[in-house]
Amino acid sequence: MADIKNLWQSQKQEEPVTLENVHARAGTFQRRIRRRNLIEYAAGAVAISVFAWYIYALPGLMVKIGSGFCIAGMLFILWQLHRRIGAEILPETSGLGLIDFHRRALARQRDGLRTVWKWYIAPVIPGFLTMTAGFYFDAPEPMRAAVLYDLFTRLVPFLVLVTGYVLFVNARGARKLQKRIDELDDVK
Amino acid sequence: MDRAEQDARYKSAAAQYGPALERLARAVEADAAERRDLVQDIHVALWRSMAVFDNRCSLRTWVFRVAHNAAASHAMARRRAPKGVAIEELDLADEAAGPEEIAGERQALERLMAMIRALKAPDAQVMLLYLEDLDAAAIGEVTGLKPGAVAVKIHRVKALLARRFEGGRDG
Repeated sequence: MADIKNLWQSQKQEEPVTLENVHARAGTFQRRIRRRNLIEYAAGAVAISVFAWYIYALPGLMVKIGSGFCIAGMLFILWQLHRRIGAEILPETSGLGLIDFHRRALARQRDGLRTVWKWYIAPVIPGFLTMTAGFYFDAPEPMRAAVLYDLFTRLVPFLVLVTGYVLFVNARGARKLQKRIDELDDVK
Repeated sequence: MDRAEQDARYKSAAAQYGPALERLARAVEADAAERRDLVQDIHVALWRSMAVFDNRCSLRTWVFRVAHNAAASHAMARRRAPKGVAIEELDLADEAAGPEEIAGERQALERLMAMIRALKAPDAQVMLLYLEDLDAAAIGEVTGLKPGAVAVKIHRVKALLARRFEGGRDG
């Protein structure tokens, strides 16, 4: 058995990595993270600007209030993103054993799938519902039936289907991850 | 810890374990360009980890933990990464070539690396650490596996390597 170990350990090393390489790559990594965060915050800022414009431009008090709720929801989502990104560590540098490291990475993915609707979808629902109600009540009396019909035949089914699909896929993904976590728990 | 001390610790660890880190990357990543990236990522993880290394375990254990975790992150991030099989499943499934068919060191190494890449992460890690000549206690310390589980896996690794590379001779 020593032969195969010797063979393994006798492999020639290619050009060694220098400290300068490491510093440069670590810097690139940090810049990439900053750019990613900036893009997420910018996307949030654009969405908030759109709802702010609705408050200014759209008629009807309920639609304006709904837009305000949507802005509050977006701010909540951005705060959650900031909090979660802030808490992001590089667990491979924490010196955890592979099983614990793997388990933590899988558990984090599982929890992300299980809770994403709470902080990414739910916060904007009150705003959308208020805006929807606003479109109905602000419409002239003879048009309300048509608005209601439109809402319940197009928008509501679309939102229910999309949300249902996202929740279903996330729940299935979380179950698969839990199975892998259980396998790791068995060998630990 | 200041940056100079972190740099010094990293340089010492890299000088000592650099070749082993490269062998790990070779075993994990078959693509040459991806492998170069992985080697650098492992070194960056090692350098960053030196800022928090507190000597609660040996430097060797720490370096292997950080490096294997960085390699596992790389493997998890790969698209459509195969889930891998357990050692015993690989032993049963891979009957393609016996030792007599493995001519030359290069071929033997390639075959060994293909075997490692086909394994589940904990099994691959045990095999790699075994090839790096770590004993069972050290492998348990790096992986976090129970001593009994390490012993079973090492036994299977040895049997598999013996069957594949040494014509059944155990050592």
